[in-house]
Amino acid sequence: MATKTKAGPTKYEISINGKTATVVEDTYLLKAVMDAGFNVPTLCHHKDLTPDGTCRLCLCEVETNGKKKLVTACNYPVRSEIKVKTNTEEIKKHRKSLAEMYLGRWPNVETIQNIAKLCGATDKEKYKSDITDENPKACILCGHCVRACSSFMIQDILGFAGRGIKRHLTMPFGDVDPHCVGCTSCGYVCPTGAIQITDDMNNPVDPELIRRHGMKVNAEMATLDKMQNRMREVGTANIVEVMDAYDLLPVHNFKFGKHPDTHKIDSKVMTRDYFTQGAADACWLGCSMACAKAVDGFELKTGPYKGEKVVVDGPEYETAAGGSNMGGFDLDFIVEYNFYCDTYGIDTISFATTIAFVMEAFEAGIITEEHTGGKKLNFGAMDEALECLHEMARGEGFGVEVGQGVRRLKEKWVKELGADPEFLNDIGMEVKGLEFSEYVSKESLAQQAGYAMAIKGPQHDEAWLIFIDMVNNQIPSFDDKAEALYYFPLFRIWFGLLGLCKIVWNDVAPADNSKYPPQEAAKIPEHVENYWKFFEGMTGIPVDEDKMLLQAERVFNLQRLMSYYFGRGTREDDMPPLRAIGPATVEEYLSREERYDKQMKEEIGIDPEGKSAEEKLAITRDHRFKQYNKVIDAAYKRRGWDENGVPTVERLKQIGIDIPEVMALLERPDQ
Amino acid sequence: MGITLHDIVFKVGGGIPNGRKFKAIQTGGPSGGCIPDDMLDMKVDFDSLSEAGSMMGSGGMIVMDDQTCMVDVARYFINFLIDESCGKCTPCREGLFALSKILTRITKGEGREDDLEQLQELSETIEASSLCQLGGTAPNPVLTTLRYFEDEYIKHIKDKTCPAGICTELITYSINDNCTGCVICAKNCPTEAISGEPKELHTINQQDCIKCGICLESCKYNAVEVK
Repeated sequence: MATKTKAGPTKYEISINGKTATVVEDTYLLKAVMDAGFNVPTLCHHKDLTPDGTCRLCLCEVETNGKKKLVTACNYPVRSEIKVKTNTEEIKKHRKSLAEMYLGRWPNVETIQNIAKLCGATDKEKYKSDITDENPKACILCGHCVRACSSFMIQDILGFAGRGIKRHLTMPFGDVDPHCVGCTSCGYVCPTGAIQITDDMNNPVDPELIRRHGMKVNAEMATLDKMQNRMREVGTANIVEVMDAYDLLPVHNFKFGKHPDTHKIDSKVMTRDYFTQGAADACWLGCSMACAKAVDGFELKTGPYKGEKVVVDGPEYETAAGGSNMGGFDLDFIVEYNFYCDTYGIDTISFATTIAFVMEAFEAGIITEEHTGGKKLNFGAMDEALECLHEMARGEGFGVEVGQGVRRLKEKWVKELGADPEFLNDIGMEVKGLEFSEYVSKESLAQQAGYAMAIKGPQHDEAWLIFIDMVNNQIPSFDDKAEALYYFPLFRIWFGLLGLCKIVWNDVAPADNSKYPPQEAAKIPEHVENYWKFFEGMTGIPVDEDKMLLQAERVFNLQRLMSYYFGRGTREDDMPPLRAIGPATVEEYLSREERYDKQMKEEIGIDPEGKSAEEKLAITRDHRFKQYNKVIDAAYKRRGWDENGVPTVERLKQIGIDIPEVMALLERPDQ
Repeated sequence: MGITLHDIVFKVGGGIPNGRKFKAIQTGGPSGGCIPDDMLDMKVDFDSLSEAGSMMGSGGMIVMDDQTCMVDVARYFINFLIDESCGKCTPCREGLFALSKILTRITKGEGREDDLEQLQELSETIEASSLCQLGGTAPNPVLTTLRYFEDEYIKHIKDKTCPAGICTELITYSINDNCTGCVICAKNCPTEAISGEPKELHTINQQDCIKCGICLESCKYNAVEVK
């Protein structure tokens, strides 16, 4: 999910040894110099690590306003129109001298010998002393490993100790640090072999292949995340303000996509006031993304642990957006419901979407305080929402009803209270009995289908296409969307089967990912390749797109067939509520009247002029369902399913799972 | 500001004790430079001090008399700075250590022909390429002593002598005819290297002498000589 900047970056024309080069502001001089075709020696520089400027070999002369000075190119950001010289007599002299110092200390290390040669230093005896280390694999104090540990792993397990000439590499207190998980980043970046990788657990077939691609992931997370998403810093919470900006943040049971109070629950407030640990918090130690976050010392205001200070894991985006969906624009509330959902074993998304539905029903008068046990459950009624949560856990009062979820509430209220079934179905945000996760899918056809067609219900374990569809506009046509609804669920299923996480697939994209055509770019091809190589490195079996899709498609079709066998998994089960695909009420239509009127005119071909809001809502509803049906028709076809959404025998044969046990699933016991 | 070094040393500070001769003044702390007596009329300000190869630095001043060896002074300050260096950048870490090695061997009489050139070369690289100002100024004691007291270095290297009588490996203590046989020196000698009957001329056994200088300090008759 690489975010693009709208205004172009500032650029400078600089002169390098008389040659003119155009350089983007803040580019490090070393890169600019190398890009311009000049070679500058360096030992401590590593392309994936923050520059350190410690070996001093990359000295260059920089002239600004007639004043000349020597700088280290690796950590000198270009911020004006400078004149650079990379190889003056003075520089050559210093480089040679530095190289001789290195040669005196570590004469047999190949990296040092190469640098010395480059700098014209040959005399190994010149600075030879009693501390000369003859080991060809000696540590040369370049600090690659220390920086890799800190920037890849967000750990400080390796570090330098000792002052001056006593500087040496160590773990804390000279002991083996039990926090080291053996990620091998340090060994990978070590230029001399001073750090050796001695053991590869789980006996992968090709550990080097895994490591190569793992390090690529590490390097990208360390260098690109801070520019693209800041997920290492703020977790998934950064999406709150992005979604609000794109009118996609669920507000008041998905009625709206933004709210003036979003700033009270966005990532700025979370990082400032709530994420207080100031440390990496990864799902597993060794993850270079470490996007999990936690709130420390949070004092609970309700429930059985009232008054106690607790640590709360989260909130993640969907929990925060669940807050806005209930109208709870208060992080204290969000963190509190996050904590109690975790404690009670309740999913925050299902809780929030159900309560949002209850709130809308309460405001619509379908239920009253009589049904809720006296609770005024308007949008934003945070204390009351929390009370519902505690009642759910205790199995008491209205909580017993709420705990059944949206689908059963709809059925119950129609049956027992005589509520309007169409209204409840339009606003009840569930498919297949599962509550919607927290994105407004109204304006993204691909996302609507991605949600509603998902085998286990409307969540993005299968396809989260909202960004590539709406924000990046990478899949404009029906065919593109159908292809996306074929490929992405399969890819997600495939790496899910491997037990791998999606964050390092598409949240951070390679800096040059846009070089691929849009549909390809949406897949993030180089990151997909990482997953293939992990598979190959572990099993020894090479994978490509066809093989991956085949592996996944077998599982996907089996899941769909099992769903079918148990009475779900047909077209009617893939139908979303109206609110998931468009405005469901007059209030909602009018809130975005300009947009919907424009669409009516341009896409439907009907002039909205003179029509009542009710008429316009009906026209839009009709159109949106037609569009939705078209998209799932296209997706079924691409998947090789019949128009009822059931896998065809032909397709099962094609993918080689037409074995009797699977074929038997086509015979539903209820038919 | 603006007062001359001479006035600070002789008027404010009261001059050199024990009637000894002024030799050099080091300003600005350990990484300052050593300024010789023919520059004593220099006014104390930032620019003048920098121009002379030293600095204002901490504002501290160390005044040295003619019993100070300038090579030894440079070695002393560089060794002090080696302990101060954080060790992060190569020139300060490795370069100061190399400087110390060369200075030490000169004070031991093991100096080589090209040592002065190496000292100059190392100092310039350390000064120009260090990451911070500790390394940027650390070679000052070497650069200024080379600049103002080069002959003293040469005497150490070529003649294997220490004119100030400090570098123990290059000097010998002996007792001349002034000796009255008072036995004070022999009593004070920590290694019992001095022998002689009372009221007779004493002699120093060179093999046992550790050149600590206690005999010289304790003799009231100017009978102990250093060469």
